[in-house]
Amino acid sequence: MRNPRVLVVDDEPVTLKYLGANLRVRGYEVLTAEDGETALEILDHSEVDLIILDIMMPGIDGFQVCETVRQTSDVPILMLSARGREHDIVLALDLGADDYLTKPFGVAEMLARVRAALRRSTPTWEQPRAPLTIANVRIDFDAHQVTVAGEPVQLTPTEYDLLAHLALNAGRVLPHRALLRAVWGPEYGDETEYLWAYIRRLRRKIEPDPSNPRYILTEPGVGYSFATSP
Amino acid sequence: MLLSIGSFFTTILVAIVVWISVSSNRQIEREWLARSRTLNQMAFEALYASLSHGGGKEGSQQVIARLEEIGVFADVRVVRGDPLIQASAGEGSADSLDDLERRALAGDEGGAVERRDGQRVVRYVTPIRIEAECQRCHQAGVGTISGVISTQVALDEYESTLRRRRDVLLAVVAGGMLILSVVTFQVLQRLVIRPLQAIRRGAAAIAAGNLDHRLSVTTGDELETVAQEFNHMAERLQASYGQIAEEQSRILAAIEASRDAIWISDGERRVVTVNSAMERMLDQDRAQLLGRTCNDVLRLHDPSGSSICDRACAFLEDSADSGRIEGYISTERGAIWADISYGRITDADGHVVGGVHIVHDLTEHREIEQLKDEFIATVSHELRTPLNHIKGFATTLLQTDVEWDAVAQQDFMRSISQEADRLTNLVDKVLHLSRLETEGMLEDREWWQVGDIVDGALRRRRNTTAHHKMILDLEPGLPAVFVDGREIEVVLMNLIENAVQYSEPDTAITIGAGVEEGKIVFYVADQGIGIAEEQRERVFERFYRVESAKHRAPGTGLGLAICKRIVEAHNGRIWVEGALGSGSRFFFSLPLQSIA
Repeated sequence: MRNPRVLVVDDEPVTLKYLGANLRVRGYEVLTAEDGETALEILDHSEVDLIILDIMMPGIDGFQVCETVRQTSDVPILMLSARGREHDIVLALDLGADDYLTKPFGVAEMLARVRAALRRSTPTWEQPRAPLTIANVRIDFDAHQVTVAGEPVQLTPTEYDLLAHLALNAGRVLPHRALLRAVWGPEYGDETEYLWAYIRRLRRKIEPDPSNPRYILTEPGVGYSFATSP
Repeated sequence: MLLSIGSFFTTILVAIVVWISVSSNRQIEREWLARSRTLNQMAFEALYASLSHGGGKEGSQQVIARLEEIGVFADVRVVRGDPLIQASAGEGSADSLDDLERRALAGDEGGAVERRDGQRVVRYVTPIRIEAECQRCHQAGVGTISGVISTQVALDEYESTLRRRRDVLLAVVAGGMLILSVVTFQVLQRLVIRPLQAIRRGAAAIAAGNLDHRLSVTTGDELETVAQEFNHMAERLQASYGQIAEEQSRILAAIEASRDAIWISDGERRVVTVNSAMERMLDQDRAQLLGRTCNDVLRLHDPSGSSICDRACAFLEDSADSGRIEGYISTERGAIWADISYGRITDADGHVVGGVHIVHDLTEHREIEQLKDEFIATVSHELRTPLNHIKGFATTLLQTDVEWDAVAQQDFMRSISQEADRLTNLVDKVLHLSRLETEGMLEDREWWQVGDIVDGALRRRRNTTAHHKMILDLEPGLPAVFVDGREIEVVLMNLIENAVQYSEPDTAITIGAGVEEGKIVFYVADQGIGIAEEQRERVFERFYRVESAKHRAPGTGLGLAICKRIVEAHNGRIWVEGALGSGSRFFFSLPLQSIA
């Protein structure tokens, strides 16, 4: 099995230097790109396990790269930016990023998030489970497949994790913190905007009418739940 | 007033005339009645005398005729058929008796003024009483009344003299009254009426606005005092008006000179006064603005477009008498963001008679704020980049779970140092630029040799230029320049830095200077990537960096902006020549103050 391969995309060579150095010394294989086009080129002919993506770049920016990548792949994406406003974070997550780091950051934090992202993408359900069906939604845990009304639905690892957690606890309201910890990792707990963005993504993919959700319900101020009989 | 006086005198005159007439008439009558009585008695005595001397009827007739000659007509009437007394003279029938005769017959003598045949006569009738002597001839008892004797006298002749006298008296009185009237009139005229008229004219003149008018009344009495007071009042009025006019022109001058638009409206929100700034803002003449309502003229609205004109004019009615409001004003040129302060205008009784609005155009202010915000945002971003890197490298070195070899450690620490330098450079440039912006004209000017300035710049940038070929192209005999030498060095240093950054090592960088048309022109030329024509102007903008896919320029983007500020503060010009791919030549010129 090869070492996890990380693609780091940032227009500052200096950033690439220390991010690369830190990852390499820990055994990750590192590919670098200084702009969006180069990054997409690399992704065309290499398989990577994680993309660390800067938002502010000349040419196509990080958001566009993320959107493009998500059309064909659910590789985990960790976005970097100097802008840390909630609005930017939500936008990034909405486009499909799994996590978001604001500069300046300490490399320790970055490394922790890299680990979390990679952990999410590798299946953790060791015990075989029977497929779960609630109304039109069917989750086949063995095949790591989700179908809605018979049609398979493409989900990123994070989306899959979130849906699985909600469905396995159908009828119960899962608080924000619990969901974040379960899906993103124990280091997480306050990033409710992540949850919110991912719930929206799930609803878009699963609900017949995303603006009037029947499967994934919001309990305001508390958390989310999956309906038992939508 | 004359009319009253005239009527007064006329009435008095008429009354006097009437009184004189009436009383003189009465007097005449009384006199003549008295005379008549006497004449009547005389006539009787004359008749008696004649009769008693045996004159008989003829004698009586003679007496009567003689009496007639003097105008006395006597008439004896007989009653009770006494045959001896039958003499009758004058007119009148023996049978008929009138009142006087009847009364006399009863014993009452009396007289009256009557009118007979168109003449006024006085008649007197007395009873004839029988006395003892009479019984010689008459058979009647003593004391009985046997008849009456009446006499009458025509008044007219006698009256005429009296009348004449009376008329003269009247004429004299009338004449006197007339003269008195005229004199009184004249006196009044002079003493009262003319002065009053003068005062009236004076008041009218002042009411009409002619405040110079003064009265000259010299009657030496109360009217003169009134006129003097009037003059004082006029003086004070004039002074007041003068002050008010001055005050007004001061205020108008202030309003006119203001760069803020000012408009004053009346109680119905109609424009009454505007200043030139207002005309300019709305691009209309004051003639087009006067009389229109605020709403119509300004269309004050908030960002969403709804009108807030009412809020801006609410103070005309409610308790607050002044305030401020911000909003958009629609003009021909578009919407202007403005800050409007307003205040109430009240009259002496405290009633609201209008309002004043002062409009401060915030557009420029906003633009400046925007530029400032942009500058701050860009500077913050620029400052954060090296800081991010410092954090990155430092936390990298702090990792305890891995070992970095010595080379890597050195590398990282050097990077930290470099980023710190970058940060310092940026901060220096930002501060320098900020100082240039606020200070404007440079104060530290001295005479400098061009060669010294160039040497100084090259020396300070020795390390940067180590890998390039430096060529000097200075004209011989260049004059000294009166400049801030340190700042011109900065210009050269920045240009040199750029040349190094944008060209490959081992290429040539040339620094030159020469005199052209009263100016000294410097240039720094390189053989680097050059600048596209459309970017030639923009390179001097703050934070502008020529961007290309390959070359993420490491500079600050402020160097050329600083150069421009310095050169222009010296009244010089800076520009660039050269095309993309064939290097750049940066020129700047400084005017020669004088040749030293």
